[in-house]
Amino acid sequence: MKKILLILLLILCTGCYDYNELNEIAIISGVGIDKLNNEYVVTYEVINTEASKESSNDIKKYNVKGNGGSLSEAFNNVNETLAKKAYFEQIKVMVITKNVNILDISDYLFRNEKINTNFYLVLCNDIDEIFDFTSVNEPNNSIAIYNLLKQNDYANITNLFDLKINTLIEGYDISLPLITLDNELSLKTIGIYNNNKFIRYLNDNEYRIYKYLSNKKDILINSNDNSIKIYNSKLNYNLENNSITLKYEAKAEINSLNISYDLRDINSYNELSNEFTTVTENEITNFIKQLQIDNSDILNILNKYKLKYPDSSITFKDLTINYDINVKVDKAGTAFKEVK
Amino acid sequence: MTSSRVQSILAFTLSRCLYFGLGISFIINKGKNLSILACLIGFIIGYFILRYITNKDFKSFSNSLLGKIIIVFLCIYITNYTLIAFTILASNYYLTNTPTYFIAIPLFIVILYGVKCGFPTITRLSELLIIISVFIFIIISISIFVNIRIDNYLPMILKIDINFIECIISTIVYSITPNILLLYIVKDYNKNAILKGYIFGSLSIFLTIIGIIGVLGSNLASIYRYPEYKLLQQINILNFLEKQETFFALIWFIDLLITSLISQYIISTIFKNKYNTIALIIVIISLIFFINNYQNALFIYNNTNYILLIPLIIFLFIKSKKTKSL
Repeated sequence: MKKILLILLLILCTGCYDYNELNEIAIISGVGIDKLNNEYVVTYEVINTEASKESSNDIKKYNVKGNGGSLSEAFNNVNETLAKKAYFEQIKVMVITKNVNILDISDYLFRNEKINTNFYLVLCNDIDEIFDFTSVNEPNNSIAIYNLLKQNDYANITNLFDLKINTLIEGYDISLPLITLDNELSLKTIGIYNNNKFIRYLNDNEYRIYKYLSNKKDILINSNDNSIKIYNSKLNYNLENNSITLKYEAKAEINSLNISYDLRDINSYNELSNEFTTVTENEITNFIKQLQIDNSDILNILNKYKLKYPDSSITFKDLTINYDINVKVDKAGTAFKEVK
Repeated sequence: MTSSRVQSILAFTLSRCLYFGLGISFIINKGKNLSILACLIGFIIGYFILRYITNKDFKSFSNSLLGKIIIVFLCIYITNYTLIAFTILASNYYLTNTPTYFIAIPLFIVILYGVKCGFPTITRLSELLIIISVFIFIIISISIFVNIRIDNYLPMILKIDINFIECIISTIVYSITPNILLLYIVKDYNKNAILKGYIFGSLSIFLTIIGIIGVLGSNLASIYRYPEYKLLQQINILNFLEKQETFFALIWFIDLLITSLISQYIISTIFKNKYNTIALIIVIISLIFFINNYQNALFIYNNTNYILLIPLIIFLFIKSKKTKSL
């Protein structure tokens, strides 16, 4: 009798209050947050669980929108518009505009037990444009953005929302990828911040430099119509005598040649390595100088410096950075001479 | 007679039990990056304290009135803590709409059932559950340690202040005091087995703190109510197995379950026929005055280190005095 009572109690007393049928919940795959005229505008991208997989005519997702003076008010207003119970566990991305102060929205997102903060924060210029778009490849835009992030080596633990906020809390600068609509959703650059304040978007060339400094692979460097592709790179910082030296070492493969080189000769590789080392050094120096003008330390250079010299009051703008760049071209591809 | 293996398992569990929802959060909040060093010092000092305690014979003291009062107090306190830790986590993350009564009572029924089955059943259960616990711990360690960022440990400038000292004391108390229950329940305890369990238990907590600070950073970890649970949320095995924190949290629930089973079993041996009434009073007090009262729950969170330091000191003091008189 006791055992039966025990089993009954265990079955009856746990979980029933929080029980939800799958078709009674609105699975949110992405959230958009904008701030317009001192009001938060929140958009949910909701997966349509009623849609059948076979039928291409069925709407696979729909958007719900609401606004409010505070973020929690805006979220509440959207939840009220939903006919189902909002389910935030499957959020892949959160799309914000540059008007949104990231730390202002963090407290609500951290505190709300229903929101799983394991998502990626991305920037866009117009949330409606992004969420209203329907791609042929992937009907759900949040998943399409997530796939883009994966494709660009961005979807890793260090870029999760929690850890981005941690960087901000510790007083450092962050960067966020910009999602644009160019026939398809695309990721072409990043937005840089000075702590919590949006500064600007990087141009194409700066974004390319940023990518190879972030140890991304297959990044092109061009010089005199020759181009190489970095396949392995390492960025280190040497700290000695109150100065910081940025040490960048890369190994590259020739991508295309427009000048006569005999790649059977080892000297050709040395010449190319010297040429591209000079080009890369100029690119990196100019890029970091521009970042110093913008006062946006997205490479965490000051952080490294302060870890060694915590009492120093120097700012990123005033930091003197030395460079030690070495690009080694050591792969010729499948041709020994230029094809002309 | 309890085997050495079982004693090691129980010592392992008891050394870890006060860290979930309390110890880790408290220590990281106080010590920030230095909590790693504070924990290491605390565990080493704790080892020598436990070695000293386990050299003594507690049989006569356990039968004295003072000994029984201390043991009963410890058991009630630890049971109360396990109920709070379990219920608050469940109501925050899993069963957000379920009244806390419906979370705590079924757990307590399981504890009562375990107590009725007797100590051999509890030890058999712990032998089985420890396998799951170790298996989960290995998976967590492998998947978390690849995501550690060395920068999160820096700067680690040694600054011996009140917070650092408090971290060391708390580590000692959280890991040693629950082991007193083991010394009470196992009369013919094996010193080496208990120390072995303590070393592995402390090591697992030490690695957990290293993992939390390495992945989340001390600032972010101190924001969270359950940093150890947030760490589990970051687990992503081979890019396809993610959001498994509910399963991985079993490692903590196992500790809480075994600890509360031991505490309640000890109370049942002391109160014998009156145990059912006592158990009912404990669960009612816990529910009304702690689980559903945030001020008292916070009191437990902030003061457990000092409250449990008192029985530890008494145990050390009484025993020393008795040894001298002998």
